[in-house]
Amino acid sequence: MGKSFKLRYEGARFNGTRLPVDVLTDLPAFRDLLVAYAKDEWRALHADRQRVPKGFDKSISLDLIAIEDGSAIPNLDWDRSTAQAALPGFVDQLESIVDSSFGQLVALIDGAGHGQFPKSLGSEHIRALNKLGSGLRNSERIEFVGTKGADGGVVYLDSVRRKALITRVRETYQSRIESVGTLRGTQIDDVGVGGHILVSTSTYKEIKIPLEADRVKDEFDGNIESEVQFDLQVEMDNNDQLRSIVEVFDVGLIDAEIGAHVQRCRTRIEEIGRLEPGWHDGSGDKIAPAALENAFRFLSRRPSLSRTYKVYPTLEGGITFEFEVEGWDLTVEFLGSGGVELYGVEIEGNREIAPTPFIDLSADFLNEFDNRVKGQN
Amino acid sequence: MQPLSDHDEVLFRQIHPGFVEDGVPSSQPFRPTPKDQNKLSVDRSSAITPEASFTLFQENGGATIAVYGLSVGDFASEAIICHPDPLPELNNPAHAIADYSPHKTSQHKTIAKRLKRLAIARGCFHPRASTKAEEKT
Repeated sequence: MGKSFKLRYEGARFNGTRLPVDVLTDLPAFRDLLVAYAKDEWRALHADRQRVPKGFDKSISLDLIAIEDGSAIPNLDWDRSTAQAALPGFVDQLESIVDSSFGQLVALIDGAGHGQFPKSLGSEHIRALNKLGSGLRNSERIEFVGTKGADGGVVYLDSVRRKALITRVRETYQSRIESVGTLRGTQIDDVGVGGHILVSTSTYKEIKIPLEADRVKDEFDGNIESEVQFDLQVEMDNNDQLRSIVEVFDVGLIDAEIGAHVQRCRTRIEEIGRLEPGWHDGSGDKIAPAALENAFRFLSRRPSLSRTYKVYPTLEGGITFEFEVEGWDLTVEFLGSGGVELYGVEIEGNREIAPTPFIDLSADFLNEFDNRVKGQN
Repeated sequence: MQPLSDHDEVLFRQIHPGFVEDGVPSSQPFRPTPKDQNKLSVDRSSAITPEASFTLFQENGGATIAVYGLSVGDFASEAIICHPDPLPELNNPAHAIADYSPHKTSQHKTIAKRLKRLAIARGCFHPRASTKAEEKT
């Protein structure tokens, strides 16, 4: 007993239960792609382990048990007893993982047919994808029997979808990150033209930021352990680990006292991020990732007022920064939806700023914020 | 019930630990939550002490770290009328409500910020040690 996967080869070549040998490489490729997703699933379920256990690969073996009539329909069978022999004690969990992995594999291929692609995929996934369907000719396709795509029809892989997947999905993707970290080192190259600074961060671990030698020497040398604010375009892998820096938009030291307040605020945001649902006497949502991300980004973009910021959770899963500046008591609220809201009251007067929404931590919001804190209202 | 008429009577408000940082309360406890239906829960100082209000709130299953206070007059300055609302089932004859319903929900946030400032100016009623918020004002 186990699971069966049926791949229906559609095309004139496959009539009469014929499976040309040049498409046989699809079968191990299908299995490899399934295993690649299964490993991701295992790692997600066992976050305390870095690697999958010995025998994991073998435990997801597929056997070709039949080629059904109609068009060639190879039946690939995952057998529980084989899995038990390879990875004793995990068969039930493996069955669930294989199920889930097949679902993700099918979703990937169906998504390609509708213009939806993941940000990136692991190297194992990409290697398998490069082989799966490599023998298909135009007008031929592999149907995943028993599945249903977004359009209600069976999910299939043809040469068009295969090409789209291979060309659109890479191992890495680019992203912009704005954050703060601690300066751990500086270096200037032998020629004395270029250099870099080493910044330690809680999210991205250590980042090596390239800079002109003059800036390294004049601004950062002698300031080890100081707080650094940075705005970078980076390349990330499919595990959201930073691979390389594409462009440096901004990097600079933060004053030591401000740095300490920035760290206080960061610690407070992290603490708020750990609140569980129901934190407020049974009500109170878990803080949304979008709110947390915006709170960190805002802090790195506007650290100079961090001395005054008081940070609180909201019942709706957001975060507020409440502070006084230029005669105003202001609140910046980071909503769970990713939006931002600004409101406030005059400390000595009667004026108020009604809650003003912004789609995200945009230039519009930052301009409005800067106008308010500079007393231009 | 008739609205509270003694504008000098202080009404106590419990502050959840999540809404205090470095001894300074957020403005959020000074406005009703969505489930409060525009009615902010408070306890009347004429019927209970701050300490007893704090203890009773905890005995009824609530989390609190501080008791702040606003007068009936403070609420009235924001066009918020207060009414007695005793809760015998919770052993709380001192309970009252501050009714925010004359205001749109979008106005509650700025009202709460002004009320927070008034509450901080009065000082924390329990525990009675001075807080950084009081030192600031």
